[in-house]
Amino acid sequence: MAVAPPPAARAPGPRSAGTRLDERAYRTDVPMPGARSGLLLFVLFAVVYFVIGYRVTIDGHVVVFDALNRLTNAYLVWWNDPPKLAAIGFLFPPLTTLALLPLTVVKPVATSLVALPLATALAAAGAMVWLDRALARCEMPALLRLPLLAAFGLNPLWVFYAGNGMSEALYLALLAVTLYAFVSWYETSEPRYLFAAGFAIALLVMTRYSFGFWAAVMALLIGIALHRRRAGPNEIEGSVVAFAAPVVYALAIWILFNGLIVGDPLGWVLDQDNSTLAVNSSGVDVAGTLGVEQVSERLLELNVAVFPLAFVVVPGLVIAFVTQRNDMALWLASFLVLGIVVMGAHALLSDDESLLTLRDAMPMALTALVGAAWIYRSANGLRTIVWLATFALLLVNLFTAWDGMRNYPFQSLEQAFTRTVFSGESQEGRSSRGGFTVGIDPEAQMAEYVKENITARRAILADNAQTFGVILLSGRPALFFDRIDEGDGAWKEILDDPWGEIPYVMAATGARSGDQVLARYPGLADGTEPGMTVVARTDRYVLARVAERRPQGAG
Amino acid sequence: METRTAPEPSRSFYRRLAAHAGLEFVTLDRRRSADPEFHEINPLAARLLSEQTCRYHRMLPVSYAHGVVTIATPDPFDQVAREVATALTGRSVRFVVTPEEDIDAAIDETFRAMPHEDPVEHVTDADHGRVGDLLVARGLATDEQVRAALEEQARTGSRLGDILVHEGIVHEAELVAVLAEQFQLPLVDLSTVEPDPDALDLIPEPLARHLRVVPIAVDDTTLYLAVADVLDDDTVAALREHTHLELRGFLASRNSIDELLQRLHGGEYVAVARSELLTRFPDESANRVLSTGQAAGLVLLALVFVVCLVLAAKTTLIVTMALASVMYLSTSLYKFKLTYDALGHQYEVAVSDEEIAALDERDLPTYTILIPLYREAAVVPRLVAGIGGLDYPKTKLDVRLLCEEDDDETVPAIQAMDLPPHFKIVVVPDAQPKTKPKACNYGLLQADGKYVVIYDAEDRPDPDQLKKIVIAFSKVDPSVTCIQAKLNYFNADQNLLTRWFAIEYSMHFDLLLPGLDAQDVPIPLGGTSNHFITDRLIELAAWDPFNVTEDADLGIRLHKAGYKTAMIDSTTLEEANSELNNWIRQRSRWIKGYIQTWLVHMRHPFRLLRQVGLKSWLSFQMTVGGTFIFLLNPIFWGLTTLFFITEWGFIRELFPSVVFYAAAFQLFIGNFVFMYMNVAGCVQRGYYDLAKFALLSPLYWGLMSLAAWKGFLQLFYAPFYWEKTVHGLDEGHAGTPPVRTSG
Repeated sequence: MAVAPPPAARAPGPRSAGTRLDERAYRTDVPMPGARSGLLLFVLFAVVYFVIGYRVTIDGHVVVFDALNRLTNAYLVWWNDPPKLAAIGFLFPPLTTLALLPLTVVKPVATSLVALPLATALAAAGAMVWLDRALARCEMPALLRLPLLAAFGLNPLWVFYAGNGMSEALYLALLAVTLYAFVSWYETSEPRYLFAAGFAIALLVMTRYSFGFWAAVMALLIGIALHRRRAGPNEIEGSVVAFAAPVVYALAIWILFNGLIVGDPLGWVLDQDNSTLAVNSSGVDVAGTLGVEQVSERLLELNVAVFPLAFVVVPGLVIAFVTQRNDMALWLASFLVLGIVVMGAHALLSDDESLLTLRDAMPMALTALVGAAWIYRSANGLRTIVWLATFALLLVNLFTAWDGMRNYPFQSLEQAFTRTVFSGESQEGRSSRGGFTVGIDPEAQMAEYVKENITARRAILADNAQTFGVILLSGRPALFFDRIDEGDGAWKEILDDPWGEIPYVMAATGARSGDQVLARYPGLADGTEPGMTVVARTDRYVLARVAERRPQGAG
Repeated sequence: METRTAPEPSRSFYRRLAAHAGLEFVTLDRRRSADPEFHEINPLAARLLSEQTCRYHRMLPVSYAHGVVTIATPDPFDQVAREVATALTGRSVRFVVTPEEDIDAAIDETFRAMPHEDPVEHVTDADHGRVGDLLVARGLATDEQVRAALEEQARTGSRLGDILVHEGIVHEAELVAVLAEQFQLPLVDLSTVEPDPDALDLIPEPLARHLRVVPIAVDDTTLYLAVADVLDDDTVAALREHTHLELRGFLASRNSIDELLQRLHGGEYVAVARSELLTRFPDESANRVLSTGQAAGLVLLALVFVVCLVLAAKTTLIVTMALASVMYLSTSLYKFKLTYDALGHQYEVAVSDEEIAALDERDLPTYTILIPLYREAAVVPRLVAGIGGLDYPKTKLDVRLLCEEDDDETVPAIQAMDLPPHFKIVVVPDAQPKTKPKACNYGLLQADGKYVVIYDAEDRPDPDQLKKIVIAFSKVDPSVTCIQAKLNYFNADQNLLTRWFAIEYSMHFDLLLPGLDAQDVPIPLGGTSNHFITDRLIELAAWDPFNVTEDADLGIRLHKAGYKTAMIDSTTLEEANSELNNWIRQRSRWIKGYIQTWLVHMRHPFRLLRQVGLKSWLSFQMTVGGTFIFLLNPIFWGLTTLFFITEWGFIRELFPSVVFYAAAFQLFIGNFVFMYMNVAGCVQRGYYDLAKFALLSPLYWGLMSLAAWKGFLQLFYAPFYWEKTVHGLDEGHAGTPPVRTSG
């Protein structure tokens, strides 16, 4: 029997199953970046971000305490006694802490705080890779993509958050994935991109709850778009289900956990604002009722500082929609506008101007870049102009961002970052715009004392929410009363009656710290609390030995 | 008549003539039998033309092979002779040149040697017309019918007579009678014949079955054979290895020959069907649940476990939980990888509509379709309709309805239906194990097709599936021995259970199996619509009659033998089980079969590793071995529920940190991922309406676990018991097959 020659390699092309949304045929000849170039891009950006982040965070002591708090929680998951997943806590969206887990399993990486720049460098580099793919999906060749990516990726605000351990890098990476998947789905109608978008936005919601609103909007847009293209009701339903299922599941699980463990299924929705307020106190006088005019001014400032590209992109997208019936253009424009509107509305409704922070505007910067890429794709004869305008605005943004970081009132140590970069000096002890005192020496000193002088387990009662820095830097969470394992009830009991129950108490002494130990024993701050003898004090913390018996006059 | 021999000048002349005509030169003179140019005359081929025709046109058929009749003639340029020969033989002809002295002598010798038992009327050429003419002349067909059949013949290459029979215009018996007249062969009615055992002993049964001849009588000089066609050279040569007696053919229908062979050798056939694999590859047969080594190993493991439990109960349980969690997690991650990879790519063999349209039906081979039936008379009409809907020349279909001997419901029902001739009833003698694979092995013994496929009674394959497979086999790697089509259900919307079933199959056949295909690892085949190269299937000893998922097992054996399976984007719609108990019975059999398969191939785990390599070995553990997860599911779910309700500290202690994280990840993330993959499978396939039901998959998994335990336990008390799936439960359901929405 004659043997057939080996067949040509099976075409690995994807298959399309859905109603086409894009009236323009999908060009399969547009090269997408390969794995190798993606890896190269990733490594390049990761190294740059890590090096800068290390210099700023570790050498410069510009440590954002939100990040430190998450890192501590992630550390406690592994190194508490017993280790417990519940240590991730219910203060922040869980994924931002979970993302740190692989790094905190190595003790020195966590206690040295290297985990902070490392985690966000990797996330931010990942965001750049997905942005690259999104730009390529919009038919932009590599030679044009790279300058844009460089201009965007080296934006000082982006660089700061790429190296400081905060959650922004992670959720912006997930946003990049979501936008890439969404654009890809629109262009190719391939279901796998719809699934990817659904998964990505589910993870996004678990890093930032407010993206739940975006998820709802996207689900609605999917349904409307398919309906306009005369897709059948089954396809509309199935597509929306496929997209929304991960988000709904993630939220359902989170509600279940909160209900079972904390006893308040929906408390996380409201707690978010309060905790933000407590931890990110701006120090700026925000007395009085916030007006629309005020909010609009701040939003304009943010627009200029963080995402000036949107000034051109939004009108461009609207024009693309009007002239080409290009739904994706309208969607991207809507995301941008809605993002701004939601930010402003949130501040107005909360009557809190300090919610209008630089970092909260970053999603619009990323979306604006993808929007610009979409205009590039849509404007066949004007691509060079579009590219030039985008590049120019990104360059301008380098300066506006720098200026905003130095001067905008509602921020998280951005000013300290600019000073560190400019001078190369440590910012330990210096103040930064927003009412922060930069540095972690008080935490480090207290941690050092604890390590050298206290050896007994469960020896210190402290409010984890305020003393997390000390706990982490000591590297020995077992020395502290395990509030996670033993529960709030037991903790409060001992707080009320520590005498003979626990050898030490520690409190954060800052006026706005909200430390529960200090609130219970206000005399601790100046060492006048009966029955509690101060044994160590730093600028922000006090450690006191507790008497064996309740003294007379004790609280 | 004195036999003359051609002088040398005459030979030289005819040699030059042959060379000029571009034809072969032969000599028919027996005195020159040592000559390389000598050509033996096949006496049976010689009868393809009448004596009168031969003498008139001075030509003689000398051999018949591969459907081509070789005709010796001194005049190669005689076009009329060529046309007459073609028309009268009904076959392609090839001329060879021979001296006229040789042809005259050969004609004399051939027709003088022909025995005439009964006075034969001097027939004219008119009586030896074409088959069509003969049928018309006898009033069995009209001119229009013959014309239409000739058009079909031109298109498909099938024989005219076969076409007319398949169209129902002529009965097979009538055709055989006309052919007998055309070839001057006597007819025989095999229903009343009791073959002479001495005759049967002369030709081995496997050869007789292969050649489709049955020795019916013998005397001192002649062996009389029932034949379905004029014996060609290859057949004669094969018979000559066992006897030098004169061969005399009696024409009978193929079906009657098959039935006679079954009647004579049914016992042997069923023994082969039962024992072929066991005899040739004893270690591959599931005739025993555990090998000695496995039994000893399990006992030892159990002992070790009990001892550890006594000495350190908590540690033992923690380790057990840890191992189970690792297994669970690794299997889940692997399956996720496979399905995710498949989402973005088309790994199935692609066959376009243009390729199908360009297919020359004359090149299509015979295709055997095996359809096992048991107490399924009710679905036979639908089955016939389904097969009838296949876009494949009916004359090239060999459909075998495999019925059990004790099925007094189905066999009579089929016999009463007067089915088209490409349907054949094969009655499988009653013997244990009474399983579908044994019946398929029995049916395979007389398969005519170059390719063979199994369909179930209720199957509705894509009409162009067979053609796609033929094209696909021509495109794939030569080592591909099986091409698996996708399965799904035509009654998906009947109820929630059928929807879940359709979802499961969408994920399995549209994502998981293509993912396995892309990895070049063993593929556990689906229950039906697996298309094989017949010879290779026989080489592998076909299906294991002791394995209740013989398809999955065969997929593994195929891979072990160095062959491959490919997937194709063609679907067969089946009936999804719509009744819960019936579903549980079916699923328990599948789970039992998968466990059987795992146990069989893990009798020698290191040998298996050497045979298939590490990647395939690991894949086998996680796909087939991953079946054990269904047994673990209820345990894990039970512990979780118990913990949430009671917060029992002992349960917490069973899952220390790393183990807990792995188990929690699997519980919350892993289960969701699989539920979502089910959504993805539906949407990938275009079954958007099923997506929301996929979100309820965990409930379905609960049912699967229930069935898994049933199957697992049955492995010990009834390992070969075939839980029969009742079909036809969708009667009265007015739903339509799910519509694939595509852009």
